[in-house]
Amino acid sequence: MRVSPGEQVTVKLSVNGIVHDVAVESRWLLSDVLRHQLGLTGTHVGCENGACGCCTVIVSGQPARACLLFAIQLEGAEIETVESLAAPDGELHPLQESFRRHHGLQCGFCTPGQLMNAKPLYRQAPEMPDCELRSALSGMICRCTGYQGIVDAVRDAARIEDEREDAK
Amino acid sequence: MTTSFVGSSIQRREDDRLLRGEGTFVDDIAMDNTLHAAFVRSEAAHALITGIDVTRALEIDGVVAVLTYDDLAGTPLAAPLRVSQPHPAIRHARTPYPLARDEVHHVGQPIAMVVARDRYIAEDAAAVVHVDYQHLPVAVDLVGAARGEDGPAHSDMDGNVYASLSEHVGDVDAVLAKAEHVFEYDLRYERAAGTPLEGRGLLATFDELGGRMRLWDSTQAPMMVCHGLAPLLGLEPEQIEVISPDVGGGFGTKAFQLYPEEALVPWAARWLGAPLKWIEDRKEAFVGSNQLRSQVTHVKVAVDGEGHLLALDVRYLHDNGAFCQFGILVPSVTASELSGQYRIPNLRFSFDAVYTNTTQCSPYRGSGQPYATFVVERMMDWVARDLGIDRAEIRRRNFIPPQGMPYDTGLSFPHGNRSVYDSGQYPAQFETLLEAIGYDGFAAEKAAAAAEGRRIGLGLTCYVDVGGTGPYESTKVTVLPDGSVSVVAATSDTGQGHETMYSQLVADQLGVPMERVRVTTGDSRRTQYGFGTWGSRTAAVGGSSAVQAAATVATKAKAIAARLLEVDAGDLELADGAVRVKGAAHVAVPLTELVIPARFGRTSGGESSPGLTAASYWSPSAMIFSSGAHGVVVEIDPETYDLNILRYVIAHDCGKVINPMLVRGQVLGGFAHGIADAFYERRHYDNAGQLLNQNLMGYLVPFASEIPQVEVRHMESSSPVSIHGVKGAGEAGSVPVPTAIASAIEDALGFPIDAMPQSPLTLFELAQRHGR
Repeated sequence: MRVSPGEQVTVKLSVNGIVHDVAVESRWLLSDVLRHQLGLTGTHVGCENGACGCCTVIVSGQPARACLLFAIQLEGAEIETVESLAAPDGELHPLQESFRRHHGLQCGFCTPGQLMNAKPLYRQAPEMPDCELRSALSGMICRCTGYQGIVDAVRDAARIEDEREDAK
Repeated sequence: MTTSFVGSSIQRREDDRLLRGEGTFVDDIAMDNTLHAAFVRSEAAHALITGIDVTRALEIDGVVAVLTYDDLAGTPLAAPLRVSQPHPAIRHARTPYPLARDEVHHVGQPIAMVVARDRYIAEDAAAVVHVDYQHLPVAVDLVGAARGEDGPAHSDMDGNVYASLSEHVGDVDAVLAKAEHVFEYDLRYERAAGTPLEGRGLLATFDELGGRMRLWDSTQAPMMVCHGLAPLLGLEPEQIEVISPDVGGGFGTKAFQLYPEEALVPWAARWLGAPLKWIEDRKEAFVGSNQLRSQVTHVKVAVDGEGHLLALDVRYLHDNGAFCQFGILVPSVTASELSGQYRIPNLRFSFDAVYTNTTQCSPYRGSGQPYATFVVERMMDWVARDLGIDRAEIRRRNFIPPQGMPYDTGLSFPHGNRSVYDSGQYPAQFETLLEAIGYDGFAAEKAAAAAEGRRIGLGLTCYVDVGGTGPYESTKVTVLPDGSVSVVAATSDTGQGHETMYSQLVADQLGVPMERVRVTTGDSRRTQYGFGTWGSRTAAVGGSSAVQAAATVATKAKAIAARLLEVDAGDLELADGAVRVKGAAHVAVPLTELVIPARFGRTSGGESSPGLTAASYWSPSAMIFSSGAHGVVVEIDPETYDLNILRYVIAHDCGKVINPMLVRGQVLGGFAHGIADAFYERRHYDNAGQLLNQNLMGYLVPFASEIPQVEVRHMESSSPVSIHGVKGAGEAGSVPVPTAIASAIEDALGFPIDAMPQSPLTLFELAQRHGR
């Protein structure tokens, strides 16, 4: 398919389990389309060159930086954003709950990206040595917390989840 | 009082929305028909603009307007922006025109504003605006600029020094002339910047019928923006609604006002008759948002044979970048803390504030304080070395003792206060640190490491950190008809958890559950008098005003309840949402039943104003100082000169603690900024004034992998100045860190570390120079 500059084409974007028909220009970033076309403003934009990690979403199971992807590339992909984390009844995801308990956020700007980055790895976190966990979380800038709360939160999320399961 | 939220690690009320991605940052606000701005910025550090061609930009479909200086002629925006922190010592005030007139003074200075249907188109158009430059001499190096060898940064000046200030206590020259020992040292600190993850952002819309401007601004100081904008827009402050919504970090960068964009966007929104949005991108943030830290110092210190400080003479240069909208605030803050934690009977400072063709400077977390700490504490290490006295012992011999509080350093502080330390327990705090870091056993530890070929070193530093900066802060507390409580604070939250903090304070005063308190911050529709969130001041100054306002409401409530219950007001207390008789909780009136009597003034028991409401504009009567001591053990790789922090201890006293979890968060967050300042972050300019690292791949903000775990020991010296004993915690975590790291690297490698930040490369070069 050849798309001219300025021309809009309709793509099917699967975001948080809902398929949207979205008209996009070829150069529109996934981060912009999520925020401004779909109104999913939980995905934040910190640098637009892939360095800070704020805009991290999950694309087909893997964390990815939404500012480094064009929306037009993503027909057929499964995109998950921070808005998908809490349960339908509103209960916070164990990761979200853990960030709250461990003061893993201050201004909250990097938080959605931190959560989506940690989602595929938090089940393994309790077994990881501190340096390994910090290394797994690196590439994600938080300018407020000094990271200790984030490290503690990711490490403790699986336990919170297991506790909830046991209570059911 | 039965409830007590103050002192508890209560979880944050802000978190739920932020965790769900439901926060409201400026760019999250969508209005129909919004236009978008992008800026054409100077590519030259210093040049005359000889031509601007906007023809191609205007031809692009979707472009609405391209504004240059000429389009602003005849408006208040055709003049340079104001100096918002004036000082009589400023001899040559230079501030930017919102859009450059004929001369540009740093890379990144706005030259033209493009407005278009969307941001993509606005950037396309900005890219094809052609600017012709006639290049002028450039001043970048601080020393060269100060001597007049480089530049001038402004072609209408002969040199680059725009202000000089000096002050002294005692007779420094006489003591230096006859002291047993006089030592001289040179020190240097380089440029960094706050770098909040959310850049600056603005959304402005003008209501023509109502004559009201509404501006959502990612700022730390919305009330200052409101008052600063009024003359530029020809409106009264009451007609300008500046709202600081969720703000993605500030660290001082957003405490500045006015930035050129902050004037242009609302003005253009009104002119165009449409909502106008500008969201700073990362590259703009690197060249257009303020920076800080470069200073160069020469120190002369007189001591006796036992290491007692007799006189200190500090001369320094301060680099303020291209302009001085904040006057000489930063070097003055440095000056105010040159006594450190020590008795220094004879003290003198003098500084020159200097322009360079680099991005303008204004406070970044700690303002001038990290530099004061660096100068004083490195000096203490070196005097100890030169006299052969232990580093800890020389500090013990010079501490201001607790019984010496309040201690007048004899120095001034900006805003007209004197630098008087209100309280502190410096010696005990230091001993706590030494024990926790393992100071006594370290010599053996270092020797054992050396035997294995490892280079480890221990660093020490003490510090003071000003908290309760005036002039005042305002809070209004109101019991609403449904019994809930409204708190309106003029300060703006940028991640500190103010909603939680204010709720704790007010809930305690009024005896209501925290969830019955609703907090509004940073909204000039609700209050116009206040200064904002900076300088570790909100909990101390804003918090005091909240406590005072709530206490006034409590007094009113008791007076009315006393009449209704026919008891003495002194026998009443507020608890469980009611006013009740102490010791007879069943004799009570709910707050809800006091709202109406309070509104009908005459039944309110002679109170001075109607309503269960009170506003406080609380001013600190003196300065408030937090304090602490940091200790660190580092290992330096002998091959790569990489830094590994083996352990780090913070002994910290920020007075009374409202919420230990939030204070810990501030300390650890500040600590990470300190580590960044010590070893990772530096804005590198070349000799032509080009910033070489204009993105987060070249400017190294540390990740979790660079920030070690920290042990924090809290002490508590309640402030006698603030109403509730609070001092302030926002900056103290970062202020001393580079100094502690410098001290430790020096101990590990055995040569002086007199400049920060360091890096593996600079340490390697130093080692070569010292023949190691």
